[in-house]
Amino acid sequence: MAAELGKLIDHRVMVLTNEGRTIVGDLAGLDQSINLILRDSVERVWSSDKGMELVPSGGLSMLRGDSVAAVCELNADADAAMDWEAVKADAIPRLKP
Amino acid sequence: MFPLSLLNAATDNQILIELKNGFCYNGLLVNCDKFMNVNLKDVTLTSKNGQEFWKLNSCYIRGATIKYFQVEPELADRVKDDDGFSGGAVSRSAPPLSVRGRAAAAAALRPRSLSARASVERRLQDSAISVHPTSHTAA
Repeated sequence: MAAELGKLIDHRVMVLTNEGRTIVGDLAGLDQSINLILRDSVERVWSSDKGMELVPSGGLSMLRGDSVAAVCELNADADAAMDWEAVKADAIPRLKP
Repeated sequence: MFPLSLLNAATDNQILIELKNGFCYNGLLVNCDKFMNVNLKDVTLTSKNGQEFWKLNSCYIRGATIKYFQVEPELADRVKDDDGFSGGAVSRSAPPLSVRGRAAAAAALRPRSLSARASVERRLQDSAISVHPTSHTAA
Protein backbone atom coordinates (compact mmCIF):
# COMPACT_ATOMS: atom_id res chain seq x y z
CA MET A 1 0.00 0.00 0.00
CA ALA A 2 2.80 2.38 0.87
CA ALA A 3 4.39 1.55 -2.46
CA GLU A 4 1.48 3.23 -4.23
CA LEU A 5 2.04 6.38 -2.22
CA GLY A 6 5.75 6.13 -3.03
CA LYS A 7 4.82 7.22 -6.54
CA LEU A 8 3.74 10.56 -5.08
CA ILE A 9 7.14 11.34 -3.58
CA ASP A 10 8.36 14.80 -4.63
CA HIS A 11 4.82 15.66 -5.79
CA ARG A 12 2.59 18.23 -4.18
CA VAL A 13 0.00 16.37 -2.10
CA MET A 14 -2.96 17.23 0.07
CA VAL A 15 -3.27 15.35 3.34
CA LEU A 16 -6.53 15.04 5.25
CA THR A 17 -5.88 14.39 8.92
CA ASN A 18 -8.13 12.68 11.44
CA GLU A 19 -8.92 16.08 12.95
CA GLY A 20 -10.28 17.29 9.62
CA ARG A 21 -7.28 19.49 8.83
CA THR A 22 -6.25 19.93 5.20
CA ILE A 23 -2.49 20.21 4.73
CA VAL A 24 -0.81 20.76 1.36
CA GLY A 25 2.90 20.06 0.96
CA ASP A 26 5.63 18.36 -1.06
CA LEU A 27 5.83 14.71 -0.07
CA ALA A 28 9.48 14.18 0.82
CA GLY A 29 9.18 10.68 2.23
CA LEU A 30 7.03 8.08 3.89
CA ASP A 31 7.16 4.60 5.41
CA GLN A 32 4.94 1.54 5.88
CA SER A 33 2.99 3.17 8.71
CA ILE A 34 2.22 6.09 6.36
CA ASN A 35 4.23 8.46 8.54
CA LEU A 36 4.68 11.34 6.05
CA ILE A 37 7.45 13.88 5.62
CA LEU A 38 6.16 17.12 4.11
CA ARG A 39 8.28 19.97 2.83
CA ASP A 40 6.94 23.56 2.71
CA SER A 41 3.55 22.53 4.01
CA VAL A 42 0.65 24.89 4.36
CA GLU A 43 -2.60 24.24 6.17
CA ARG A 44 -5.76 25.37 4.40
CA VAL A 45 -8.29 26.61 6.94
CA TRP A 46 -11.88 26.67 5.77
CA SER A 47 -14.75 28.61 7.34
CA SER A 48 -18.32 29.28 6.30
CA ASP A 49 -18.18 33.03 6.98
CA LYS A 50 -14.83 34.03 5.53
CA GLY A 51 -12.73 32.73 2.64
CA MET A 52 -9.96 30.15 2.85
CA GLU A 53 -6.95 31.06 4.97
CA LEU A 54 -3.46 29.66 4.70
CA VAL A 55 -1.41 28.77 7.77
CA PRO A 56 2.18 27.84 6.92
CA SER A 57 3.53 24.96 8.99
CA GLY A 58 7.29 25.43 8.80
CA GLY A 59 9.85 24.05 6.34
CA LEU A 60 10.09 20.38 7.19
CA SER A 61 7.49 18.45 9.15
CA MET A 62 6.56 14.87 9.77
CA LEU A 63 2.98 13.74 10.19
CA ARG A 64 2.44 10.52 12.10
CA GLY A 65 0.63 7.86 10.10
CA ASP A 66 -2.10 7.16 12.62
CA SER A 67 -3.30 10.77 12.27
CA VAL A 68 -3.59 10.54 8.50
CA ALA A 69 -7.01 9.90 6.95
CA ALA A 70 -6.19 10.45 3.28
CA VAL A 71 -3.32 11.46 1.01
CA CYS A 72 -4.26 12.92 -2.35
CA GLU A 73 -2.21 13.97 -5.35
CA LEU A 74 -2.72 17.65 -6.07
CA ASN A 75 -3.26 18.75 -9.65
CA ALA A 76 -1.00 21.82 -9.59
CA ASP A 77 -2.60 23.48 -12.65
CA ALA A 78 -6.18 23.03 -11.53
CA ASP A 79 -5.23 24.17 -8.04
CA ALA A 80 -3.50 27.33 -9.27
CA ALA A 81 -6.51 28.18 -11.43
CA MET A 82 -8.88 28.26 -8.47
CA ASP A 83 -9.50 31.46 -6.54
CA TRP A 84 -9.38 29.77 -3.16
CA GLU A 85 -9.52 32.95 -1.10
CA ALA A 86 -13.08 33.49 -2.28
CA VAL A 87 -14.25 29.99 -1.39
CA LYS A 88 -16.27 29.62 1.79
CA ALA A 89 -16.81 26.15 3.17
CA ASP A 90 -17.67 24.44 6.43
CA ALA A 91 -14.72 23.07 8.30
CA ILE A 92 -14.30 19.30 7.95
CA PRO A 93 -15.33 17.67 11.23
CA ARG A 94 -12.91 15.47 13.14
CA LEU A 95 -13.02 11.79 12.38
CA LYS A 96 -15.02 9.82 14.91
CA PRO A 97 -13.03 6.78 16.13
CA MET B 1 13.82 9.77 2.93
CA PHE B 2 12.25 7.78 5.72
CA PRO B 3 10.45 9.61 8.53
CA LEU B 4 12.44 7.78 11.22
CA SER B 5 15.69 8.61 9.41
CA LEU B 6 14.69 12.26 9.57
CA LEU B 7 14.01 11.93 13.27
CA ASN B 8 17.40 10.31 13.83
CA ALA B 9 19.10 13.09 11.89
CA ALA B 10 17.38 15.59 14.17
CA THR B 11 19.20 14.50 17.36
CA ASP B 12 20.89 17.46 19.08
CA ASN B 13 18.62 19.83 17.16
CA GLN B 14 15.56 21.86 18.04
CA ILE B 15 12.32 20.06 17.39
CA LEU B 16 8.68 20.96 17.84
CA ILE B 17 6.36 18.09 18.64
CA GLU B 18 2.59 18.37 18.82
CA LEU B 19 0.80 15.56 20.59
CA LYS B 20 -2.62 14.17 19.80
CA ASN B 21 -3.96 16.03 22.85
CA GLY B 22 -2.90 19.35 21.28
CA PHE B 23 -0.01 20.08 23.66
CA CYS B 24 3.15 21.41 22.01
CA TYR B 25 6.67 20.44 23.14
CA ASN B 26 9.56 22.55 21.88
CA GLY B 27 13.03 21.40 22.80
CA LEU B 28 16.31 19.71 21.95
CA LEU B 29 16.06 16.13 20.73
CA VAL B 30 18.24 13.90 22.89
CA ASN B 31 17.20 10.46 21.77
CA CYS B 32 14.67 8.55 19.73
CA ASP B 33 13.82 4.95 18.82
CA LYS B 34 12.04 3.02 16.12
CA PHE B 35 8.66 3.51 17.79
CA MET B 36 9.18 7.28 17.58
CA ASN B 37 9.49 7.49 21.39
CA VAL B 38 11.63 10.56 22.06
CA ASN B 39 13.67 12.15 24.80
CA LEU B 40 13.79 15.95 24.83
CA LYS B 41 15.65 18.43 27.01
CA ASP B 42 15.22 22.14 27.78
CA VAL B 43 11.61 21.89 26.78
CA THR B 44 8.92 24.54 26.59
CA LEU B 45 5.50 22.96 26.86
CA THR B 46 2.50 24.92 25.59
CA SER B 47 -1.06 23.92 26.28
CA LYS B 48 -3.61 23.33 23.54
CA ASN B 49 -5.28 26.72 23.98
CA GLY B 50 -1.92 28.50 23.96
CA GLN B 51 -2.57 30.04 27.38
CA GLU B 52 -0.50 27.89 29.71
CA PHE B 53 3.25 27.28 29.57
CA TRP B 54 5.70 25.03 31.35
CA LYS B 55 9.47 24.70 31.33
CA LEU B 56 10.78 21.17 31.60
CA ASN B 57 14.42 20.14 31.98
CA SER B 58 13.75 16.89 30.24
CA CYS B 59 10.86 14.78 29.13
CA TYR B 60 10.03 11.48 27.49
CA ILE B 61 7.29 11.33 24.88
CA ARG B 62 5.70 8.08 23.78
CA GLY B 63 5.72 7.85 19.98
CA ALA B 64 2.11 6.77 19.72
CA THR B 65 0.97 10.06 21.26
CA ILE B 66 2.64 12.22 18.63
CA LYS B 67 0.52 13.97 16.04
CA TYR B 68 3.35 15.63 14.14
CA PHE B 69 6.80 17.10 14.57
CA GLN B 70 8.64 19.95 12.87
CA VAL B 71 12.38 20.38 12.34
CA GLU B 72 14.72 22.84 10.66
CA PRO B 73 14.46 22.49 6.86
CA GLU B 74 18.28 22.25 6.60
CA LEU B 75 18.09 18.82 8.26
CA ALA B 76 16.77 17.31 5.06
CA ASP B 77 20.28 17.36 3.61
CA ARG B 78 21.72 15.54 6.60
CA VAL B 79 19.44 12.51 6.51
CA LYS B 80 21.23 9.20 6.03
CA ASP B 81 18.76 6.66 4.72
CA ASP B 82 20.74 3.50 5.34
CA ASP B 83 20.86 3.81 9.11
CA GLY B 84 17.17 4.75 9.50
CA PHE B 85 14.57 2.29 10.67
CA SER B 86 12.44 1.31 7.71
CA GLY B 87 8.76 0.69 8.37
CA GLY B 88 6.79 1.64 11.50
CA ALA B 89 6.71 -0.78 14.35
CA VAL B 90 7.09 -3.73 12.00
CA SER B 91 10.21 -5.84 12.42
CA ARG B 92 13.26 -4.63 10.56
CA SER B 93 13.79 -6.04 7.09
CA ALA B 94 17.24 -6.89 5.81
CA PRO B 95 18.41 -4.20 3.38
CA PRO B 96 18.09 -5.08 -0.32
CA LEU B 97 21.28 -6.09 -2.16
CA SER B 98 23.26 -2.98 -3.15
CA VAL B 99 20.43 -0.70 -4.30
CA ARG B 100 20.37 3.06 -4.08
CA GLY B 101 18.09 6.02 -3.66
CA ARG B 102 14.61 5.84 -5.00
CA ALA B 103 14.93 2.17 -5.93
CA ALA B 104 15.81 1.44 -2.32
CA ALA B 105 12.84 3.41 -1.04
CA ALA B 106 10.49 1.74 -3.50
CA ALA B 107 11.86 -1.69 -2.65
CA ALA B 108 11.45 -1.13 1.08
CA LEU B 109 7.85 -0.04 0.59
CA ARG B 110 6.81 -3.05 -1.46
CA PRO B 111 4.95 -5.73 0.50
CA ARG B 112 6.75 -8.99 1.06
CA SER B 113 5.93 -11.61 -1.52
CA LEU B 114 4.40 -14.99 -0.85
CA SER B 115 7.03 -17.21 -2.39
CA ALA B 116 10.69 -17.25 -1.57
CA ARG B 117 11.68 -17.53 -5.22
CA ALA B 118 9.59 -14.53 -6.21
CA SER B 119 11.15 -12.47 -3.45
CA VAL B 120 14.67 -13.46 -4.46
CA GLU B 121 13.87 -12.61 -8.07
CA ARG B 122 12.51 -9.23 -7.04
CA ARG B 123 15.58 -8.43 -4.98
CA LEU B 124 17.83 -9.29 -7.87
CA GLN B 125 15.63 -7.23 -10.17
CA ASP B 126 16.09 -4.25 -7.88
CA SER B 127 19.84 -4.55 -7.98
CA ALA B 128 19.70 -4.94 -11.78
CA ILE B 129 21.41 -8.29 -11.91
CA SER B 130 19.86 -10.57 -14.45
CA VAL B 131 19.34 -14.20 -13.65
CA HIS B 132 19.22 -16.90 -16.28
CA PRO B 133 17.81 -20.17 -15.06
CA THR B 134 20.32 -22.94 -15.38
CA SER B 135 19.02 -25.64 -17.58
CA HIS B 136 18.31 -28.91 -15.92
CA THR B 137 17.52 -31.96 -17.88
CA ALA B 138 14.59 -33.77 -16.45
CA ALA B 139 15.69 -37.02 -14.93
